[in-house]
Amino acid sequence: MIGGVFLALAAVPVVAHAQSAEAREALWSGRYEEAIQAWEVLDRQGNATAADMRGLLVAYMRVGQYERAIEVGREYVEKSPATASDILNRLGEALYATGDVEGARSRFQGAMAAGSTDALTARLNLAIADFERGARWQAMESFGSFIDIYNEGLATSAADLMAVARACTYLGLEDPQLFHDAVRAYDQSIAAAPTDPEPRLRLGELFLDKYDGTEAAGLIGEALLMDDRWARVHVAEARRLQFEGSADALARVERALELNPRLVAAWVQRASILLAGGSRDEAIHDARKALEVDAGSMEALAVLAAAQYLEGDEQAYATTAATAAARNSRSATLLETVAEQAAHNRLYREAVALSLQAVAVDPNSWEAWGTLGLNQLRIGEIEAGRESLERAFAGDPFNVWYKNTLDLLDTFAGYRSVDTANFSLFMREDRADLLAPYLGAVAEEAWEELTTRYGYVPPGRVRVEVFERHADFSVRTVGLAGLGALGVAFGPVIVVDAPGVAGMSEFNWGSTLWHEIAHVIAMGLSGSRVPRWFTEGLSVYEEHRARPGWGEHVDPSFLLAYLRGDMLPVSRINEGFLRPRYPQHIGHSYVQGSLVFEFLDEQFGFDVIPRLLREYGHGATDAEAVAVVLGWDMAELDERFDQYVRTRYAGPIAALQPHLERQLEGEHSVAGTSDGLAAARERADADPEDFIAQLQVGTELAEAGHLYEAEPYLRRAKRLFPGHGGPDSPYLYLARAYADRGDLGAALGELTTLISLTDKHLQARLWLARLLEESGAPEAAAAALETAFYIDLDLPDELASAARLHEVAGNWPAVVRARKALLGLDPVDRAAAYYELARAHNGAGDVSASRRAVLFALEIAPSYQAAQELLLELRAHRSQT
Amino acid sequence: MLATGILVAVAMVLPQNPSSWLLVICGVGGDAEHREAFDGRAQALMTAAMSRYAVDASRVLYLAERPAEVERATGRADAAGIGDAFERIAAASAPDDLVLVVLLGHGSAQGPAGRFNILGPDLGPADFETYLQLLVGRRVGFVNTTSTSGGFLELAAPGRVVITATANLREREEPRFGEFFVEAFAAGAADLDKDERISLAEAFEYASREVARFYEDSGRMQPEHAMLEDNGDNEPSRAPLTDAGDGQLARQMVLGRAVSSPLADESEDPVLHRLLVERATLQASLDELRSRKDSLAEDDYLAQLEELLVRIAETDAAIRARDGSP
Repeated sequence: MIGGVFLALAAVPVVAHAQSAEAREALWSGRYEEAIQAWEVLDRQGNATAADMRGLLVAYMRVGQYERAIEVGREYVEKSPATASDILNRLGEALYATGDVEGARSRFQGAMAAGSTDALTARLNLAIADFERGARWQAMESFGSFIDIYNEGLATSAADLMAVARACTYLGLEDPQLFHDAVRAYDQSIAAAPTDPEPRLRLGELFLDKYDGTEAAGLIGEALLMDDRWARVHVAEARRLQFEGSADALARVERALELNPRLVAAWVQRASILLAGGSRDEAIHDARKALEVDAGSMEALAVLAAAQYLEGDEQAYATTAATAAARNSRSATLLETVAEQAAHNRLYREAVALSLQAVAVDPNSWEAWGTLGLNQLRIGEIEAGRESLERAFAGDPFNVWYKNTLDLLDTFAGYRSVDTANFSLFMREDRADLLAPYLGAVAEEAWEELTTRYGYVPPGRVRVEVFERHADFSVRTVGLAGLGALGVAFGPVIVVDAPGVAGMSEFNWGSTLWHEIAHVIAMGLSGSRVPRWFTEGLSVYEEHRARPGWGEHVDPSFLLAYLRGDMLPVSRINEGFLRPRYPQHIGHSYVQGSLVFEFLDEQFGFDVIPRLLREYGHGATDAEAVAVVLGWDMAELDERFDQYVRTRYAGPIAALQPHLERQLEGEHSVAGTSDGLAAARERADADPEDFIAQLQVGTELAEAGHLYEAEPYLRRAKRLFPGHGGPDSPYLYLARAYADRGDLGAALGELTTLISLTDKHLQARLWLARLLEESGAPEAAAAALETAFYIDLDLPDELASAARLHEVAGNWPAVVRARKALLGLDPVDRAAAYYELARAHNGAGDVSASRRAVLFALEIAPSYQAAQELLLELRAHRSQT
Repeated sequence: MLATGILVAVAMVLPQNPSSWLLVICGVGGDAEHREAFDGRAQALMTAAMSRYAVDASRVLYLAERPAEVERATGRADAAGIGDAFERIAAASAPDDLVLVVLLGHGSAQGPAGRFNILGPDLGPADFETYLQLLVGRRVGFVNTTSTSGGFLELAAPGRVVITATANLREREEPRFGEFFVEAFAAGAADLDKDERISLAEAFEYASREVARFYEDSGRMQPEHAMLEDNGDNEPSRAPLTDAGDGQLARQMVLGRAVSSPLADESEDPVLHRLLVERATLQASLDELRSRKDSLAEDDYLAQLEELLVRIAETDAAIRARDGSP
């Protein structure tokens, strides 16, 4: 019996030990509820050690049960004074998470004084608390002590090394080289605890702070693999996704909130994403949710202030700013956050003003200097922007955005500005002569058209920066390579990809530039308060008005998404940009937006559009602007717009119905296979009104070279959806089929229609130009070539043809433009190129320009007889006049 | 005094009509296709030299792998034949004559030196240096169009233009440069200054650009980079028309003359002679003005330029009228 009793008593710690190990295992693998349950049992049984209680407190905090953690921690401290010090740090962390800074500080101090197992982490937490309340000197002293601790070999555990790393991160604000030490200590911490996601997460966050998304992605990805139920990892991933411009960021942060609905960082992150997309009400809601947990959270106060600022609620903004200042009067966080959000909402001048305030509050806020510099660049203050960025980079030399941007600014020495009446075209020196004549002409035409119609003239010359490398365009825009867009308007500054830029699929630079200039007008007229959906839709609408085929159009995928209900009503269209539901949703939202303006134009006349813009400028929401200008509520707008779409596209909608039904029945397409073709052919033959079946059979047969067989299907497809000018447009295939059997007139007709439906298809345009020239229509051939030049200008033979054709038609200004561009292509025979330009100028009646060009020709080739004769002719003309 | 002054000026501005010599050496072709291609280039170059640039047929030498099977061959492209050809030119040419040596065929690398593949032992730069020493005093253009020809850039010397199809010994792919270099003379498209003659600089520029265009159009990386060295500093250039260093000599080195251009010292018409002298003087003034371009305000420069160019145009028109040219 005695022996049995002994065994039974001994079994308790053995069992407890096993339960403890299981709980710990559950904690590290993200099974927090399980861990909580196991440790609570141990606690109730009185078998929980201090280490168990630390684990329990961590588990509570991971799921947002901060108050429970505090309660349990306090109870433990009371009932187990001998080992209480070992949980003081965790208790302090729970108190800190709820905004009880003083309570937290006293626990951190207690843990340090008692030399608890996590005393180093407590020392770090105390220093962070000091830093965040503005006691910077004191905090830095404390962070500095970690260097000695490390050097003396006193930081040995993973947690200690992580504390050293975090201290070095703060020290790095004053001495950037210490970021290297931070990375080293994190690496050692990872090695010491290879299954713990925390050091990976924190190192990933450090890389994110430096805009190094690539390094961050690996580390955060690894942390997610280790524990995908830890909300903080999802927040970090959301930050990374937002940083990459991915629309998935919001979903990721929402996942974090599912896992921990009280995580301040998650609410702040969600608010930040929403606010950047213009959803101010939702952002305010989220910021308040964060402040419910921690009323003193500087990040939550900052994002709240930003939302209030953007709302134009000056009183609320001032109150929030005062609350933040009371907590830490030396922090630039609030002002810097508001500046960033102002920039996200296209208020770049305001962002500059706010950043200037931020650097005045904290001259060591490299982030604020960076935000200042980037926004100065966006409003065209290039030199001031460079200086600010250089200051930011000196303090934060590992910041990839600053480095990339400064590197790009260094290349500006090889750029040249070409001024037109209202634009300053800034482009690479060796490309300026090629691009300026064409870009300048489009820009001025857009200016004339848009300023007249909108009754708004931008206050100064608009700077258009043209980049020959998409990576440079991307860096100029978002600081990093990889942006998918082709153009961005910052108000007085437009940044675009150069025509035919490498690495991007075929695009129309003319329509892109027009689109961006329309943004300049919309931003100017609304004081930059126009919502994203409105300005994007309006820009596409203006593209449509500018030239036949320009801008994106309604295509089968748009209508199918519309009919499936994937798209959102006008009242929620902005969500299509912010929270796309499917891969093409953003693109479809652009087109949908353009349709809204075509509808409004048709229903009310164009004038309501500038009036709506002015309403936004007065701070109106969508609903308010629509009510004031259109006299409708949003529900009515939704309903009427829906009727408009369904009526306007009734034909194509009916022709898409069979395919839609097949999709809804879950039938998968097997296009491209013989079985697929046979089945599609059966369907197409059975139902001649089935557009997708006709198109599929027609294009597949044509691609396989069976042009004759393809013809009837393609003709039916064209009849069913006559506006479809996409890459698989029936017009192109029909043109091939007609050309194949020698009917060039019919081919010409198909190509003519095709290029009026799309702004792409370079080869179709060149082919059309050839056919037109061969058919004796030089003027039309030249016009077709001009449409091709909006896609690509590196076409010396075609530019020469255009010059020749324009000359036949007597269109000398167009000849001059083509000849200038040819000269810009740096031809081998520059003398001849100058001579031809001189002839063109002479034809256009510009004797002075002609003289200049012919002198340059003869400077190279003084014996050039034709040029000599022109010079003598010009000379004679001058002496006569 | 005045008459003497004019004579001095004429002597300064008019070249003394030195002769041009062309030596084309076609190395081993390796197969019929290459033999035919190399011979085709050689024939095109010789034809252009004689018909477009008035080079006397007796001053055109062609050494071929199989002399009996090709037209116009004057010898065999082996070490003995090459040595004989250089000796023959050295004996018959005068100081200041232009000798253009063009190597067509294949190249290879042996250690640090490039080799030109011929029948028998291949020849390297040192061998050609020996031959070129025979031509001291002449203006020599040495053009190696083979792969690895960059190894021949060491032949750079005062008074000599060295052109290679490749920048170094690592560029081993069969270059396209030779084809375009010949085209520059044959098609006349390289005549950038419209004087109906092709300088070595113009031919080099044309061929280099066409090579770049060929690779760009075919979407391939360019494996060959032609070089030109003419100031003896062993720092060759890829763009002699625009670079500050090389190019000066190559711009002046012109094969033959335009068939339609009269020569001042050959003209028996005193009026034409006077016009040609005047034209040469104007050209010298133009060259001098162009050299001062950067130091002048643009309007000033253009005004002075116009005055000179109008006078040149009027003089050229008078020469054409006098000479009966179109």
